[in-house]
Amino acid sequence: MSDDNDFDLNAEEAELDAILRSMSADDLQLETPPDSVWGGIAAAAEKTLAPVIDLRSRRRQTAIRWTAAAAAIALVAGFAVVLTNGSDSTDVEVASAELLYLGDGPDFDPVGEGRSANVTLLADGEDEVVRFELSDLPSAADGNDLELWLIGVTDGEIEIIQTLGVVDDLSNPGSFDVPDDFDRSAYDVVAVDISIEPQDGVEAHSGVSIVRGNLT
Amino acid sequence: MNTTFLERPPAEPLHYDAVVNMAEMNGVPAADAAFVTGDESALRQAYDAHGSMIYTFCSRALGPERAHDVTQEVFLSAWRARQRFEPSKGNLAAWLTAIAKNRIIDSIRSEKRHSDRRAPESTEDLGREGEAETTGDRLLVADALRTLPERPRKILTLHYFEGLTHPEISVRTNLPLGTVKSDIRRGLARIRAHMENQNV
Repeated sequence: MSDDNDFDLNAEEAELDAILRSMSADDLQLETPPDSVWGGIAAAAEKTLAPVIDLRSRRRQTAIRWTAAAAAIALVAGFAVVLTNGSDSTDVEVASAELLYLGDGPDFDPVGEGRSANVTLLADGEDEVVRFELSDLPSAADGNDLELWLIGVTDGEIEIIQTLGVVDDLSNPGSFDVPDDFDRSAYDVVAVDISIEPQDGVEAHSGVSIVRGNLT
Repeated sequence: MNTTFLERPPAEPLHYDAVVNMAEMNGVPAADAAFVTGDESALRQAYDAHGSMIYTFCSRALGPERAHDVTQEVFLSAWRARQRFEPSKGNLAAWLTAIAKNRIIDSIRSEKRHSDRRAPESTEDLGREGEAETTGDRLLVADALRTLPERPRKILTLHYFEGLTHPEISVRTNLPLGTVKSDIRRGLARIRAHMENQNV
């Protein structure tokens, strides 16, 4: 195409002009998403969130000594489980949780603001796994990992904080085995938590989370 | 035991009709304004209006399999954060595209971390992220083109996609050359406005 513009383009117009000149007719064609895309969005947008633990903690405290600051009622939009293909047909969904940023406190890192994840607890009669269904977790800064935890609370006291492992694949975290000795029925509330953990060899929860939600 | 119950009451809902009326008076698309209010049909409207563009963006950057999940994440993230969206600072298409860019880059980096955590970030990785940015810009420009009135849309299409010069467009459309130039300039301004996003 000849450069036949006889009016001067300002910087913004020139930038846009360059984008347009780089485009082809293919850029005007849109793909139609499968119906299941909207199906997942609609299902997720309907569920109301259950009470969520507000965990106040300080780094390096051991799990059993932490004091739960109790349950916070978060009346915000929740998300339903979107069961995806690939699950074992013998798995039964026994609980689910929407993990949300509950920020504005020392125990939540702002990097989690606006982020979330949906998990389900699946059981096959013997073993249980926590599986991510939807996730938009942020990347941890260099030298840090995101780690998945189960937190058992009774009478407002945290009785156990159990790690399930490091979340490696942020866009598709997959499933995490629940330890055999973790008995959900022993606690009033079981929360799922994702924390930021420095790669410093310390096994205790750092006390800094990005998202959290109760299994219901 | 230090037990505190914290309650998070829902944000005061804005009345749908009032917001739509205010928005229309201020030149803001009604669907964009409705999205902020959390009206139950607004998410569907937003998806109908922009779902194909966001899915296409994700598909071209990540492939169709990952596009499925990332598209869902984009709309759910936007829905959760809708109280922060201000239509006066940019339209919904531009905001969703910005969210999609972030999610796509996260996905590319996650894929990289998963494949080889020890390898340094390569120029290829940076190239994929840059290409994703460019793809998003192009799709947003194309989206803006679709919103233009028929005449400037046709003139811009003839100029940029069929390679006609201004005089050639004048002949083809039987419009004065000055009208052609004016429509191109105004069309560029409207596309630029469509792409602006000061929402974060």
